[in-house]
Amino acid sequence: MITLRDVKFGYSRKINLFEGLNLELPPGHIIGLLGKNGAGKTTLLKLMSGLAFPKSGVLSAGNFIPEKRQAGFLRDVFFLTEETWLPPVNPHTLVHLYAPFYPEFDEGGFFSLLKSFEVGKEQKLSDLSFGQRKKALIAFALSCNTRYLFFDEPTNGLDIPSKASFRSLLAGAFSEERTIIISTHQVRDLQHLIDWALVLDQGKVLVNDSLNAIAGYLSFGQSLSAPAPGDVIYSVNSELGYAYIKPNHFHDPGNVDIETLFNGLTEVPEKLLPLINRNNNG
Amino acid sequence: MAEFSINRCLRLIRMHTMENWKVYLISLGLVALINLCFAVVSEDGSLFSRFYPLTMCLSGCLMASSVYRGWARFGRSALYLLLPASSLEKFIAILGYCTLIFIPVFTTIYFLTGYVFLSMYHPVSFFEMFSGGKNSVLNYQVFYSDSLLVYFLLLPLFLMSAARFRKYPFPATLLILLLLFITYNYCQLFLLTNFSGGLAFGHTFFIKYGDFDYYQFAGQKHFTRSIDLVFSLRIFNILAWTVIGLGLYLASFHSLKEREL
Repeated sequence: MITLRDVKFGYSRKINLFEGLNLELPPGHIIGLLGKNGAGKTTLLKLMSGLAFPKSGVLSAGNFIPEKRQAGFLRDVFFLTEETWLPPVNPHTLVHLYAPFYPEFDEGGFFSLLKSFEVGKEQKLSDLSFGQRKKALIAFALSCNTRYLFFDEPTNGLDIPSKASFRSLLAGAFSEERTIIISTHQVRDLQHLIDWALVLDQGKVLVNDSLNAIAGYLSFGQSLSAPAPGDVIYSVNSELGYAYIKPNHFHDPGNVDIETLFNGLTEVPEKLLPLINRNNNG
Repeated sequence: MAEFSINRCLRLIRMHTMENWKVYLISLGLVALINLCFAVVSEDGSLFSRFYPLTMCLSGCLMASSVYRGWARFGRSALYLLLPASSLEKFIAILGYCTLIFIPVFTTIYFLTGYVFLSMYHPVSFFEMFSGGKNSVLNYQVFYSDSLLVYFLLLPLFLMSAARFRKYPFPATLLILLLLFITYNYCQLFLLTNFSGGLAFGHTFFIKYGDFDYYQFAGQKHFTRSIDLVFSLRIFNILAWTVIGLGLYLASFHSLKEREL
């Protein structure tokens, strides 16, 4: 469980990005971290991994305080940043140099992931294209078998088959003990993978809930023509017609259209948030 | 309690070597090139011997400035900071690299290439250069031990700036040191002219291990006087420098530990 209590953080002394941030992220979920540019997604990942330190408040991951950067915690966390860097060595040497730091590293799994991503075993990693480097790093990140796995825009730079491979590999890597957080703007790439939504806006948490719970009180649909106003809380013209959100009065099971939810939250938060918060509180 | 594992330190050193061996090889090649220039203009080993401390200190500080290179690249620095080893282990590994590995490797390459190039241009025996004659390396032993102390004092400063500055840590540190040196001399001049009745004007004082040396610059002339410090002052002097040195190493460790991205 990752817990944040009254966390305050800012890059400058005067301006704070997060103030009094409270959050609980349970294990066993693939969490979609959503927000506009500058909402604080990458910063939140930095704080949770120990790359940045809160000015005040408590941030813990299990029994560890990430800010202390203890070897015991770092063994259990991998942060795949948007900007990828790999040393000027081939994958064999990479394993030889880096894998001993991760006790749960699966060497066979790493090479099989590289194969599925079509990354050569003998190629120097620093000479690879951006997309290839990203695939190699994703393979490494998944093979480390860490408890906390953070991805910042993982599908940026991946070709279409690789995106599909990434989705299936991530689904395979999921376990009840793991917390996987994916910060992304490419919601559609990961729509069917994410089962928890964490939506940030200007350093505030708008939504932090499982998609199952959200589907219990919001209903998402598509129609060819504009939906009649009535019950509709939000609608948007999409390439397939109209996507809309209605209250789910009868708590019928359904799917959450994450992109529509995010758009709704940014455009009509005053309509959606009371509904979500009311359901969360009661 | 800080975590420490010698195995992880060795892994870090191995990783650092594998990632940077090309850069270091090129640097050592440059040292050899400088030696070639020395060999052309020098008739014996004296140039190598005299320039060794300066070249060693400069190269070591340059290397120390570049050990964390890549702070400006988020992906690279994140991978390094999140590598499962404690900050202490990372610091010790870097320190070991800049001292236990760098000094012997640099010294061997420096004198070996120096001897090879020199013998190409001038008839000089290995024995003459390294043990016997008036220009032999052994004549500079005290000079070398002094320069090693200077290196050990400068090293944490360069490591600290390497951890703090995203870009150009080496020139930035040189600039800071230059400013400190100017300030130190200005303060010294101010104190001496105001509190010694003008007698000591133009003197520059250096406190070394045991002696209290001062150099007097009067016109073109230059006098050096050395006064033995009393025992208690000697001890105080050694203690003061030890505390300053340890403080600097502690500060450079904290610079890495507290480094955020």
